[in-house]
Order: sequence, then structure tokens, then C-alpha cells
Amino acid sequence: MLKNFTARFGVALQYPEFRWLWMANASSQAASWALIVTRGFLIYHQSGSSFYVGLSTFAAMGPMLVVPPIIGVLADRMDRRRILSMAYLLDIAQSLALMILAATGLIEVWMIIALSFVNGVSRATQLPTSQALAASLVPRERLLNALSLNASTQHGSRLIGPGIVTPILAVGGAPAAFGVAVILYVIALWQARSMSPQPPQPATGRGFIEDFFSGLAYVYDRPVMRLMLVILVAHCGLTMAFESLLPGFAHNRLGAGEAGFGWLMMGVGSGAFIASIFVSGLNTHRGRGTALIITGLLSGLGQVMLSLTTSLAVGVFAAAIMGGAQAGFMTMGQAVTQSIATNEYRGRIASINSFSLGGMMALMNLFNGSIADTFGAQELLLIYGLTFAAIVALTILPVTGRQVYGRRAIPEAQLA
Amino acid sequence: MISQQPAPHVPEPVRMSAGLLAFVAVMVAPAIIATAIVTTAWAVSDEVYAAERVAASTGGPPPVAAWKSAVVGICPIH
Repeated sequence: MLKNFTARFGVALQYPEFRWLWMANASSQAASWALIVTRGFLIYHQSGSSFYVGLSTFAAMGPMLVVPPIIGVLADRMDRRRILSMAYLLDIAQSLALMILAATGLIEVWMIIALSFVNGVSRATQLPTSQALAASLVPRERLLNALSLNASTQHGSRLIGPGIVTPILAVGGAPAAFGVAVILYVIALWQARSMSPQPPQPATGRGFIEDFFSGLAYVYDRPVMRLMLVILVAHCGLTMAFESLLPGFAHNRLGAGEAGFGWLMMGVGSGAFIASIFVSGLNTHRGRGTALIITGLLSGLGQVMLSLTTSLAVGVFAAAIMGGAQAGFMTMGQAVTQSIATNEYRGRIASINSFSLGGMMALMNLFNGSIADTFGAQELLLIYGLTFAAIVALTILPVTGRQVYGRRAIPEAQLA
Repeated sequence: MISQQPAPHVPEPVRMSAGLLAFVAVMVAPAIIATAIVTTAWAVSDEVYAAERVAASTGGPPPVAAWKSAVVGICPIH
């Protein structure tokens, strides 16, 4: 039974190079969540301020808006395994510094925030590099499985990382918890070093900005990839920028306060984890396309369902549908773009995914936070959900849309 | 001696068009605008909060440009 399960859902793990990458990802993602929990605990313990906890999280997320374009170009010029190893080395250094500072009692809030930023730079390096690397380690027909397994480490680590570190934090304190992060990053580095070196691409003779721009032009010249990316940007803006809306929604509509927000986020996370495993079992272009349509519609309609309920239990259920549909849609969308891209552009395609999608989510979170008090979180969730479901329904109609959603084969010319 | 280095790669020429520029704007602008809002809010937030304290004690409108207040109001971490 386990063999059947692995053969269907973990088929990309049969490739040793990808298996090492996957284990490196799983370890580093768990380490990163262990750090988020421990840093938050320590900052709150030292300052008593939620603001500084938020600032530390922002310092870790901020590089996502700046670093990927640079890394994307580098990942198309250098050995991707080497870039990944260097990022893990940086993470070992920063978590070791946190451990020593915490053990000696020298640690201060500003140091934790500064090291959060270093961790953020490293994570912003790892995500596009590992996506580009995964795409080059398995054949095209296994790409969705590989990217889904990668996504499952991201979602699963939200449970596993804090799950490992919380009891250690309670027993051994912050130094021991930071020590766990060090060990996990060492495992990640060891796995990354087990992979064969990836030969760098021939030099193009272009500058950084020109190379990044040529990546965007490459996408623009391929209608299927272009439409997929535009739909993904719309998806991020309309359905995934909900963090700034949910606290107000949980309080005003569900009457559940901060605990309600936590329950909704757990619903989103558990749905995402289950969906990423389910998606990894899709093996055909048409099956993936059908799932893309269903998850796209559910991503919008799940949000509509959430906006209409006044019950916390139904809200958590709707959040799980929404989270699952979002994770599935994003993973399959990224698989569509990476399966079309040639190896020399995969780093930039992955960085455009991170940069453009992350940028849209950040902008819409800022926008939603500023208008939610005027228009109401419930109304915004409803309008955005309906709008995205309509976008999915309309984009099925044109020929390019049918190619995106697996109703027609992607032309060979776009795969070159 | 013959060099064993790989032949230089000839990249695809980029054909500039209005469609390409619009696409680049859609892809790049959100991240740049979000970064600009957070950075600007960080730069002016002390001034805005000081002006609001002055306004609260004197009863008058805050002596600070509206755009500064707006930017700080948009950014949730400032």
C-alpha cells in the first residue's frame, strides 16, 4: 500500500538528485519555522512588544521583494547547487550566532531583528533557486509531482518546525531551540552537497538588469506562460492577500477575536498541506488542467463562502477549502511555467514567480489593510472571491486559456 | 593551443513593444510600489506621530503633509 502511495504521490523521489533536494528543502523549511517561533518567543520575552515581533517577521519577509530578481539571474549563470549551499551556510552562521548570543545572555532585540533579515535574504535565495533546481532534476512529466512535493515541505514545515521546537523551547530554552535550527540547516547543507554540481549556463554577456528583463521578455513571447503568470498575479492579489483582512473579519463577522483568526489560519494551513499532497498525484496534462480549473474556481468561491458565514466552524471549513485550492492552484501554475521554460531561463522564471507574486500579495495586503475599515473585510473578501472565480471562468474560453487549462496541447514552438 | 571553453551563448534579441512594457509593468510594479510605501512610511513615521501629538495637545490639524499621514496609515508596521 505504501509502495502504491509512493509510486503515485512521490514518484519524483525516485530520482536521487531530487530526493536530496527535497530533504534539504524539508530540513531548511522546518528550521526556518523553528526560528520564527523561537525569535518571536525571545523578542516578546525581552521587549513585551508585539510590534517588535511583527518587525522581526517583516525583516525576514522583506528581502522577498528585493532579492529574487538578483538570485534568478545568478541561478541562470552559476551552479544552482552551489548557490543553495551558500544560502544554507549563511543560515547555519546566523542561527549559530543566535544560539551563542542567547546562551551567553548577550542577545538584544535589535540583534534578533538584524539576524532575521539575514535569514530572510537566505530564504529569498533558497526558494527560487530550489524551484529552478527541481525543474532541472526531473523529466518534464514529473515536474508537477516534484514541485508539489516541494510545496508540501513548505506547508508541512509550518506544523513540523514549531512542533519540534516548542517542547525543546519549553525544556531547554532559546539556546537549545536555536541549536535545533542549526542542526536542521546542517542536514540541509549535507543533502545539498550530496547533489551533483549543476553546470553553469554559458555566459550571455549581458548585465544583471538586462538579463532579468530578458527573462520577462522570454515569458512575454510565450502566450501560455504569459497568461498563466498574469492569472497567478491576479490570484495572489485577489485571494491570497487575506492576512490583513482575516483578523477584522474574525472579530467583527465571526465574533471570535484573536483565537478565531488563529483557527482560520490553521484551516488555511491544513487545507494547503492536504492539497499539495493531492496535487502531487496528478500525472497527465489534462488531469492537471482540470484540477487547475477546479482549484481556481474553489479558490475564489471558498473565499465567498468564508465571507458569507457567521459561524466559526463553517469559517474554518471554508478557510481550509480556500487554503487547499490556493496551494493547489499556485503549485500547478508554477509547474505550467516551469514545464514550458528551458533550463537557461528557469532561475529567472522562478524569480519572477517569487518577485511578482510576492510583490502583488504585499501590495494588496497593504491596500486591504488601509481600506478594510471603510469597506469592511467581509465585503472585500466577497468581491475579490467572485472576481477571481469570474477570471478563471473567462480565461478558459480563448485558445491560449484552453492550453493553460489542459484542454489543448501546448504548441511545440512555445516549449522551445 | 585551442581553447576548450564553451562557445559564447547568443541570447534571443528582445523586441520592444507596448505589450511587453505593459506586461513588465504588471509584473514589476507591485513589488516596487509595496517596497516604496513601506520604506517611505519608515522614513516619515516619527515625524507624523510627533505632529499628531502636537495636534492632540493644541487642538489644531496635524502640521504635516497629508501624503505623509496617508503613507504611514497604509503601512501596518508603522
